Amino acid sequence: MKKYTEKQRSRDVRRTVLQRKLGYKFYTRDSRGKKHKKEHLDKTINKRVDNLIEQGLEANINADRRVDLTLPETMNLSSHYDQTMRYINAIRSLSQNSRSRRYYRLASVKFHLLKEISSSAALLLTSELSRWDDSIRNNLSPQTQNWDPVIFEKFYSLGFFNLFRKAQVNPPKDSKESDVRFVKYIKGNHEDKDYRGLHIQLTKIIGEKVKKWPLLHGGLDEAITNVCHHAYPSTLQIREKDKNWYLTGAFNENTKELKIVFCDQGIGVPASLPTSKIWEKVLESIASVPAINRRKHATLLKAAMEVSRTSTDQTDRGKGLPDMKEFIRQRGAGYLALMSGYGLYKLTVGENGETHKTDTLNHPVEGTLIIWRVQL
Amino acid sequence: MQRINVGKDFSGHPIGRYREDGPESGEVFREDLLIPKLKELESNEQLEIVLDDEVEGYGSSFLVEAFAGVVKVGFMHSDDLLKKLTFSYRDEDFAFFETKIKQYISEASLGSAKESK
Repeated sequence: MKKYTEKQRSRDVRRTVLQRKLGYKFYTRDSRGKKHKKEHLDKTINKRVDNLIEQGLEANINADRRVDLTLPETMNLSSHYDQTMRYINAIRSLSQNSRSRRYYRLASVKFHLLKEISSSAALLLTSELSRWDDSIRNNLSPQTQNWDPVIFEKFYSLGFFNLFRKAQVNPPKDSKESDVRFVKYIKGNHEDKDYRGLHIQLTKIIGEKVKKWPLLHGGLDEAITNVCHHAYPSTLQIREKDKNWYLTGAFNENTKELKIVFCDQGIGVPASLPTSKIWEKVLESIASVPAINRRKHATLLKAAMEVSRTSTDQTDRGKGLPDMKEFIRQRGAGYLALMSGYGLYKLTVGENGETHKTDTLNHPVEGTLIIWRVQL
Repeated sequence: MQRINVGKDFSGHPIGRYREDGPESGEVFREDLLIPKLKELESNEQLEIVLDDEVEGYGSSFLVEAFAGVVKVGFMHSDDLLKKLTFSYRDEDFAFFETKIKQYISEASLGSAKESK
């Protein structure tokens, strides 16, 4: 047996301390060489995309491994979650590799079959395409000739075409194709946090101010602060231009339903919890959960959302996520949905009081997606 | 009575906890505006905080750091700070933030920020 040297011991101590501090997943990712990491990532892309194709992803793979994706007829996170996320996740994976011919990379995303899209799916899609455009030096150019008019109008009002420097798109001729009015999406980062235009745009569409808006504003402030503190940890080498958040709103003139959707493309709430200041509180809260379920993302989301709001601990942190519930609570009706990783947490407020739901998702939300829905 | 109009004297969009979060954060508000104003007060004088003028709302990170932070850095005891501050707003929704600020101040322990460092 070999003698355990002092040098080896100190290396092991440093490694385990880092593992405890950063979480095993981050440590191992960071500790690998750049070349090894890139190759591993590229192989993972091929595997993931092949899996998604087996599950029904409509993709055409060219001889040089460039992939054309054809979006499905419906993209909706409530009614067609798995189908929608297959495409969102495929775009994320494929846009990570833009050079190597050995691995799959995104060539185009075709919209001609798309007939219906929800506001949250539209924001996720927009954010992924924006990320892709950023990664290829803003070279994307949308071809809209064969788009469905309703879809075209929705994306036009969402400000989708402003994403692309090369876009030359005329406004829709008849802007009454759809009952759902989107507001132009807002893209921000840790320096640019101003989203006050959202309320102004919504007030114009709805015709009056949204009651209890200050509480939604407080929830959005916390979502953005969380992005700055946790979503893109400095231990991961994430490009500055990828550290964004996105926000939009939609109003259905028929049903008078208002939706506000926020998303980021970070590591997600479940992955960020072990390094956050509220981790001890979360562990306390999940102590009674059977061990096998403790690390489930849905369990972690629920614990983070329900960390005691009146806790008198010294750090006073962890009030941010519960803050997001106040808008729905004060309005007395509606829901808040938080999706991150494989977890879903949903708070519904109605005539019968509050109900909470958690669920495990088949396809992960790579980042965090928050939806507030209320009836005006 | 002295006054701080958050929207006009500080920022129309106060957001974030620490100075590194940006110039509109709770720590900047506390250190550069609130504590200097509190120092200027006479013994029986109060400080009015106007919450809703040009401001759409507040996140708890900002409120905790800005107001409870005064107690946590050891500048003033929570009971004394609560006596010194009054809040005003036209929009009744901002009553929620007044309640929250008072709650955060009451829960803060004197000097706890120094101890945790």
